[in-house]
Amino acid sequence: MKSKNNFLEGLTLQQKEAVTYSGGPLLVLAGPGAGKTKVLTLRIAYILNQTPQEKFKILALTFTNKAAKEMRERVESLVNEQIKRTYIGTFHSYCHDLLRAYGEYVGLNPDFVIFDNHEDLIALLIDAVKERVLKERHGEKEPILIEKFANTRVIENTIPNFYYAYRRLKNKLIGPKELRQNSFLAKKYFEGFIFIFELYQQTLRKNNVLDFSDLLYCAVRLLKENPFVAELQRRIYKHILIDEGQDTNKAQLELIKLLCGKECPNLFMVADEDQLIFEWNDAKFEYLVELKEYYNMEVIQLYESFRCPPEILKIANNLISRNKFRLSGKKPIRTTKSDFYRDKKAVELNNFQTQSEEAEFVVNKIKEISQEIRWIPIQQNNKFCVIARNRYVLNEVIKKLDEKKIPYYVPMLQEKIVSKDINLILDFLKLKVSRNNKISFYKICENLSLNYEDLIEISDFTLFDVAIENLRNIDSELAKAIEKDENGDLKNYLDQIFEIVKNRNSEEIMEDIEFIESLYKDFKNQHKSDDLGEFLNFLAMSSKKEGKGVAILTGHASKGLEFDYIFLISLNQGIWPDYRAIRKAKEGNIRELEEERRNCFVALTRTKKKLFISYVKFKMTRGGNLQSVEPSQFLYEMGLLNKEKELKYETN
Amino acid sequence: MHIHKVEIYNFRSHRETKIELSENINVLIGQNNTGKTSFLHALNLAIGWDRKISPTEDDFFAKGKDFDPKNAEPIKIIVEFRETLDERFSDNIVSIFDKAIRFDINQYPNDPIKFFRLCYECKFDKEKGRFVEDRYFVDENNKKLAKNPEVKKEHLNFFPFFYIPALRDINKEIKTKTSFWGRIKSIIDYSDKKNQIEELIRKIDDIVLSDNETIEQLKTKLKNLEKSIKITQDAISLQAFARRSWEILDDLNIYLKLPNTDLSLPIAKHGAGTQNIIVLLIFSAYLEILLPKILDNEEATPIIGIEEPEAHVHPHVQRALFHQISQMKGQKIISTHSPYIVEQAEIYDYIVFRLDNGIAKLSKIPKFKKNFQFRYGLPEQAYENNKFLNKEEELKIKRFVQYRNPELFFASLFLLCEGDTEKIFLERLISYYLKRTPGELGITIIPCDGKIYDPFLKIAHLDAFNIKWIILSDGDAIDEVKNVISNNGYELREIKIGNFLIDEASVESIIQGYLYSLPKSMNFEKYMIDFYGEDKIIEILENNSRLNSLWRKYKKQPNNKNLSVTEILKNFLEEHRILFSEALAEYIIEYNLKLPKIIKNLFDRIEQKVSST
Repeated sequence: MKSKNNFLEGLTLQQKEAVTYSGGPLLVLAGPGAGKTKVLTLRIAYILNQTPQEKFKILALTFTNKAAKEMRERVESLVNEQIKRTYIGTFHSYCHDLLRAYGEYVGLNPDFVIFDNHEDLIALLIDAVKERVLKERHGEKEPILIEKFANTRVIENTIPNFYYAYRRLKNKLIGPKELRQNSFLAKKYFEGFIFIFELYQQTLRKNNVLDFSDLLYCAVRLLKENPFVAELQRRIYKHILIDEGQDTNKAQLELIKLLCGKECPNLFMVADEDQLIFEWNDAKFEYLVELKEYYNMEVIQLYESFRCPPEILKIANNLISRNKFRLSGKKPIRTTKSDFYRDKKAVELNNFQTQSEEAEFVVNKIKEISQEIRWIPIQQNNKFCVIARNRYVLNEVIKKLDEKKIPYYVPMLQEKIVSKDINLILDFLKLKVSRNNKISFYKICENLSLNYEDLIEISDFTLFDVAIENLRNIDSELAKAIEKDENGDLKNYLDQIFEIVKNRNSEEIMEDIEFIESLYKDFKNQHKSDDLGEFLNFLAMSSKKEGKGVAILTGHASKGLEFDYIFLISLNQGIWPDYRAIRKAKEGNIRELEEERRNCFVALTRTKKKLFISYVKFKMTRGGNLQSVEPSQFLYEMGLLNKEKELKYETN
Repeated sequence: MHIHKVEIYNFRSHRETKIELSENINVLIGQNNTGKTSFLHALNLAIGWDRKISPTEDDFFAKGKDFDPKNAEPIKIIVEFRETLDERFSDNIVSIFDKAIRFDINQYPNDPIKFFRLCYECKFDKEKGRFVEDRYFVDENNKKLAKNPEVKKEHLNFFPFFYIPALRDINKEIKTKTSFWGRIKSIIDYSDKKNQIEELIRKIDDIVLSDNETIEQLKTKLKNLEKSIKITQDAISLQAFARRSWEILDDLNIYLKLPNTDLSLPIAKHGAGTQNIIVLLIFSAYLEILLPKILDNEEATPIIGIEEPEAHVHPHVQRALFHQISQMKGQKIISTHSPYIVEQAEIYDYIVFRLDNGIAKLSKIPKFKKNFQFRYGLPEQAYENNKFLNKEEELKIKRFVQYRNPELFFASLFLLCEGDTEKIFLERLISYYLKRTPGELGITIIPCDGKIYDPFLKIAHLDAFNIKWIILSDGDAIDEVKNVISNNGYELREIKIGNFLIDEASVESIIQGYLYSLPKSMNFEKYMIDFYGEDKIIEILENNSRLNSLWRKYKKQPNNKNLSVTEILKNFLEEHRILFSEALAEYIIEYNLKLPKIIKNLFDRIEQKVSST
């Protein structure tokens, strides 16, 4: 008989040690391509196989849906029905589930809906501020905002900035209450700012809406203020695994601590501080160190990379060793795939006069490779990728790709749902779940060209009733299908609605429906019950559609992905690293520069086969002038350029 | 884990039933057709171990004449499981029920008691054109949980419900594979003795089939047949025990010796009572032997619904049977009509069923007073002070049930009187006057040892069994009686019926009882003398042979010399109250005397009350 843990064969020594570790909290440092997902999945499978009679569950939290899905599918294939003893999901989806179950203890209605679109939420807040100012003007409310926000233009210009600030604060677990209670913070922000923060939170609650940062903010509050809920979670989840631990922000750190309790014998965190690139989202090296020390975690480093050729690891090691915010005693990454491409250079450095020339080269090279190696159609994903520091730099490449009619996709610009009809349907469904939320109502009014101001005044009916009555006049069949009771058969319910719009002969509609249907499959694979509200939130928390063709990415967006051929473009001083980071470094603050370096480290370690790095002599300013630029300091740090001579890097 | 609470909606006569269950044993009592069986059926639908039965049209609560089950409100059966302070949910339970678990933060805010509520629902799905069933978890307001874990076998395995109906057929039990007996048999493993068994069967065959003339003839005939149809030689053979070894236990049966003989008979040949007991014993064995193996769950608590375990069984054995059942593992819910069963249970374990306008009404005695907010961790005295019945009252009721009147709770009306004199008198005359026995009328006449009405007024209370009552009190110390009534939470109001002034007692403006009192300072005997006159009473005494001789002797006693006849009669009657009340009742019936006005009025009221329910 085969050993039940025969999947452990073929692991490296370190991987095996990590998978089977039983000595308490463990930090696994896994460099790029070190097989961290493999280690996480196998560990889950291993624990389940070791304890077939037990009922406890394993909680595995990731930062992306993609990682969660991949992990869940791999674990399921290893352990079959024991998968029911796991919760493998993103931080957000875990918090969502927790709040749907116990959100009442922090004043939430259990069937809240999630809105993920900034514009929608900003519009909601602007609306609320305007309403308040109006009431103050009529003497119905105490005058607080009227002095500063009497002018509509002021409101519309300031509120978006406030909105983003609120989200950042919530990520740090600072809500309006905390702002008021902390005298230092209270002084930092003026009264109007705090008041509108309160107004924002109240408006969300009144509309039964949660924004993304609320998910973690409310979940942490729930567990903190109701220790019995945290205690229940700890009794259920005897093992907690964290993916990409370096990306942990304050809210996530607190969540992990609350779920682990004081002791947490079984925290298992995979992290790589060299890939920490979300400082702007409050992810900090210090949080990782804090957790490591708080739980006195043992460390295992997985320093073998299964992804990158040795040349790439060499320049990556060179680059990252310049960073100071690193854990001490780390070994450089080495490869397992030394001779894979021995006849070809794995790294090629080029320079061009302008970004336009650079883009021309990239596009031609992609064409050349795909033609030279016939079995790579460009449409296939994970083959070609262009990475730059920011989106602005990528525009030139996009232009050229368009010209040459090469398929590409830009995940940042990807919308989940494109067609007007499906967007309308989804807004109706959200309104059906949370029958008085103004966001959906507003969007429906816009979509159907209805007069929002007039309709919102109608009382005695829910906004859903008002909206559906208006839809009935336009499309009675659709109204009828939406109104129907789901009767616990969500698939059938959605099918009947989609059937109505399917014949509208639009490719966009069909794509949207396909997207929703594939998400429904994922939803059911996670053994969720057929609940409309839960599915809509699942949709809101899902990743965007995956495009086809050449991936056009920023360094941040490339995280967690891998491609055969990578073009790292415009590696110039001031572009990558960003000029602001350079300025701060000169002033003595190296944090941002180090983050730039890590960002670059992440980008180049996405490569499976070949990396094309390039820099330019002149860049186009936003004003449209050419400006001379230096090669990036990172190129020197990688060892691709040396200070004395600007030489093209040659391999042996 | 045990059922803490059951709620049933729109299932047969259960329009809206909510009742808490005791952890160990629950005794369902009430007249026929009051919803006891439906109660067990409802549990079977919700959490039954053999969940094969589905509701039909007739199972929906019928509202009005034009009732159509396809438009009816869904049948909902909700069972709540709750941890106790002594026995918290284990890690396994919380892991498996996960987000179905709710907290009762009012009771114990820092470490709240956990519970979960499982809802079974059946309704007509118009699109599918059939009845559909569903199980899901709900919150305390019966709203489907927003985060609902799918209800799976691993959940239901924690509380398998076994329903043992009143009709227990031993033949079916012994013969079918799916019965408890069949299932126990199926796990008996004798594979290691297979060869031995087959060898023995062959040997028995040889013994039976050799040296018998008829069989030899038969064999010859068969041989001929074999030749004529030209099949292989020795294809046809005779086997008396043509049994494959795995069928050897098919006829495993229980044999029982008849008393005082050596004759053993299979259980099916025994009387119905014995069969009944055996079926229950088989079930009990099943629980012990097989259940742990099937459930693979050490923490599973069987929930057992047994209908009328007393069927065909002698009273002594009924008591033993109850003891047996109460010893079974798990939570028991027994429906019974047997006083011998009722008398053995705790009064807090009774659930009384009554039918009110076609709607089942369930009630039980609460442990604590209504306004008492139960919480763990209070001083012992706090619980004691807030008990619905104090120790003495508990004992009083228990004693009454045990020694005199176990059918107390089957009643729809309590007639409370001072003592046995009144009880005997009223009992006789009710049957005479209303043409139905108190039992048929659903009345229990309770002698209250003087004026100890307290315990009975309590259990009759709206918060407890909600039973209507009438007190017939002596005319002395009537204010004291009124005090007792109002202290039990009733509001008293004087009303006039005909020429009578009586007191009407109500709770939350629902009329719950009446107080009849004999005229001022009169007791029963005095009132009778007053009503019928001395001469008539003496005539009654003289008409009764036993009383007659006693009366004659009594009159001649020397210490009665100086007393008037009136006084002698009064003293005599006081001494022989019971004999007198019996004689009086008989006389009234025999000679068709007019009833004393107050009694007549009382009986009319009873008739009115009884026919209205």
